[in-house]
Amino acid sequence: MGLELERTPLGMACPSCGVTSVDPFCPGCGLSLLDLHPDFWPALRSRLEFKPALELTVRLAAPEHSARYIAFDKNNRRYEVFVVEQGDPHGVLSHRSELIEKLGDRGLPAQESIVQGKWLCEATCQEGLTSLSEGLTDLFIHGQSMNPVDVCERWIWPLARYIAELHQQGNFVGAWNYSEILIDEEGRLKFRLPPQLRQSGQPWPLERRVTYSGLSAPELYGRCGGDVDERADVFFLGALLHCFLGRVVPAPEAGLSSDRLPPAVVFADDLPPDLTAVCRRAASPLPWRRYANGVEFLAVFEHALELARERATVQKMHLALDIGHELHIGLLKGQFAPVNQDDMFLAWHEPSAIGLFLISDGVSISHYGSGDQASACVRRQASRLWMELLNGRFAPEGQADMQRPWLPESDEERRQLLIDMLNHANEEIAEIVNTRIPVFSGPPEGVMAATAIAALVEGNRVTLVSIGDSRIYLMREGQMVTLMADHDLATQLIRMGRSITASKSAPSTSALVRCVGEFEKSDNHLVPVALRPDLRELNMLPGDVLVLCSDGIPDYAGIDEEDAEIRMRRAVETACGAPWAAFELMVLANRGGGGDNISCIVLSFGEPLRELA
Amino acid sequence: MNNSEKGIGIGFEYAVEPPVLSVNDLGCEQNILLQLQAADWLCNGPQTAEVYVARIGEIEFPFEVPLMPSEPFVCIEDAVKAISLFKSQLPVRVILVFTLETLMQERQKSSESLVLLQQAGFHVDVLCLGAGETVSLVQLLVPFGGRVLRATPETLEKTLKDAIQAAAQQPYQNLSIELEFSKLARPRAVFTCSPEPCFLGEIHCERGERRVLLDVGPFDPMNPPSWLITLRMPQRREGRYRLLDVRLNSGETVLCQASVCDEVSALMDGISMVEPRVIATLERVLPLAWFDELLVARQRNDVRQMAMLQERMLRHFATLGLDEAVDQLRERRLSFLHSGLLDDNALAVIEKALRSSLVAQE
Repeated sequence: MGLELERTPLGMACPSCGVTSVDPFCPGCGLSLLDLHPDFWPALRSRLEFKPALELTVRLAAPEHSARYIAFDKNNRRYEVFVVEQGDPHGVLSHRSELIEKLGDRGLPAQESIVQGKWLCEATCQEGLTSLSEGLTDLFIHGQSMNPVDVCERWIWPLARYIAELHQQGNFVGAWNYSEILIDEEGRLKFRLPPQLRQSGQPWPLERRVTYSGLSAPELYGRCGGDVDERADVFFLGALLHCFLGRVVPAPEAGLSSDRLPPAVVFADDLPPDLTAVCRRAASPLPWRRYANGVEFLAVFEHALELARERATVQKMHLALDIGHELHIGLLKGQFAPVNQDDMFLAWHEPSAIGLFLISDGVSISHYGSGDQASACVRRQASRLWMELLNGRFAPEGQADMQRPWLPESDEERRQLLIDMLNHANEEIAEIVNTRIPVFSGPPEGVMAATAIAALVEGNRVTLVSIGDSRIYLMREGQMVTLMADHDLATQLIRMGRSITASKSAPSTSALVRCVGEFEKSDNHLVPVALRPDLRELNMLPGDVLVLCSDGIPDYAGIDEEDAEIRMRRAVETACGAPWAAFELMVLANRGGGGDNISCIVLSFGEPLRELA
Repeated sequence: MNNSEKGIGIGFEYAVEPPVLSVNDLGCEQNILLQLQAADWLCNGPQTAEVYVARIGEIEFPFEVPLMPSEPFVCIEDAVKAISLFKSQLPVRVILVFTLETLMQERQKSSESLVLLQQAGFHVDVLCLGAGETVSLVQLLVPFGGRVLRATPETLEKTLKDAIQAAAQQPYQNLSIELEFSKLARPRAVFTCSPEPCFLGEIHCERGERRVLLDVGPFDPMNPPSWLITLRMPQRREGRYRLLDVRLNSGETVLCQASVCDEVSALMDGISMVEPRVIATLERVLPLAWFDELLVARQRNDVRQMAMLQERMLRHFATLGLDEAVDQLRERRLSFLHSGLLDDNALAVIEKALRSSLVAQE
């Protein structure tokens, strides 16, 4: 194992903490002092006399009675080296050869075999092959500009096809190691270490199992009853998709906690919502909430890829829009806070297919002002913006009097409109407080604040803005996904690299880190700071439903967030129209307790009516 | 391998590793499932037991009791030595049954023999074939806790077999488990997992005090107890580490002991070996600790904590797919949200849901 053991007259000195002892275990740190012995296997940096000679650089996990390495030759070509004891007394090598043969063209048979010293070694050239783990690393370094759809096609699709094939044959694997899965430049799948196949329907006893950090389903660890089946493979695909979309390493807690992985939008902007929806469901910690098997996953995944391409290339058009909205104080909330702190604004001009939709949720606890005043400020600024659009601020020359709204052409200008709207709301709040309290001596964090989510719609093109923890969901064909990340402390900590578990269990994790109501103090005067909301554009397709809502719905509609989203989706899908859907969402939240104000806007995009210029 | 060395055996049964199952999650949290297991013969009765019968003097047995032929010995000392030597070579325990008819004629020798047997750790019953001096026998046996059995030559076989069976199935008293944690270990809590799941409490090890004593209670070989211990370990370099020592005591006597170890791998590849049975057990018993906390929160009228714990239990049972428990808890939680009160009825419902979930997961 590489640890040096120093023997003294008084006993053995522990190489870890230095305590000398005659006990078999170090009394200082508990390290076993009997198990330290020189490794039987070749050391790293040693050379094996293949043709060409290979230098061992990285040691990989290996079956018992064997060792595996990554090695390089003098031309820097990469090999996998498999080493067993000379004569292969335990039959490890022959067993491995059998498994590789069974893989057919997905296996990598050894190209050369030598005997050196006490070892029997086999080498397999892996030039032109990249493992999934290496592909992910490359993505961190070089792939910032890579299209997520291309990334998924390159890395996930070949594997999804293979797993679907396995499941159709009545087999599954359960525990996957993505470092052992290789993909060549043509997208063909190969395995460096053959996966262990298991038969579907056969129980997997609760005995010792291998797991792979971040990619093994919770049931492999013994959670959820410990029954492992094809859905463990679906979890693997979902977790892998999460890594490639978000460009993050596998989260060690995935599988060890009943919390979901954070949405991929936390880590990357402008991700295709159809793909993130597939990822969310596939990586659910509860097996029965995932796709039933790889076949179902593949079908949904391929459809999501098609939808993503379609969204990227769809023509500008006017889609029929059905609108619903609800505002309710919340049955329980209303008992102890008689003022609704949620507010909303809706405006829709059918002929031009332009609309502005906004929800704002006031923060309950503020020392200067109140949440309802803050959300009212946001709503007023939305109204003011709409009036500006109606007054022809962006109208082409000679068309300002047409009594219809006009939007700027470019996405950047539209984003700026929404940012300005929120900043003006921030300024209005500051003005109110500064007027009421000419000498402001308190902390700026105690000033009233509100979240804000808004959708600026023109036909099928939507510009979205979000600041705070209100949600914008996209629902389509049985899938549902949130389009923007929350601006709360837990998400912030996750973005900063803290573990998911630690982030969610830190104190005040639901505290907002960004909202309308951010100020600095200067000369006892509140000075509004420039807000940093999240923005994105999205092309809507016929059949899409956009749901804007405050956290009063997802927090109370179900047992947990995932359950709430499932119920919300079902409520919207079964409703006969957007107004009814909004009503059902409000009822759902109240039935779940109604402990917060409830507000929602449902935008159901229907069939195309005409093309837009 | 059966580690028991004294008396009628009970031991830590394990194949290669110590009799504990441990999982390493997140590199720091450790959960250890400690199980007592009785040797097969203890559960299955004397049919599978190795029984050695020593004939003292000229007594002949008309039958084999039950598997092995009897060996003649001249005196008890030789019998004890021979059987001690023999049993140390075998993996199973021994019930030793002596017939001491002729011995009773010499009271002094009887006492010495009984002391010898006791010191060798054998359970002693005495079978009296003759009219015997029952009162004297009882007086002799009182310090040793054995029984006086009477039989005639016709009833000898049945009496002997009944005695062996009773001895094999007798639950053991006065057992305890002693845990001694290594210096790096930070123990957190201990649960009884079987026969009756129960949260025993948090472990607060004072500085320098690393021992915890668990009372086993009466030991039923057919339903042996198990415990779950949770602890935290710091990040460590590669190697095999002792987490704690476990000793099974019968009164002052150490029956057997084992070290619980954990392997930290040098390979930075995210691969780990896990024991799903441990996690499954932890999932099963964890709500017991939450219920305990709920009682404390209720006493302190900590509404926020009560709400959080109910929510946690609800989510936990949903995770396990226990729909009945989920429905019961959801109703209680809703009622609590509206009233802010957790009365005795509500508590009883929650406890009932908890208990039914334990049964459902067995």
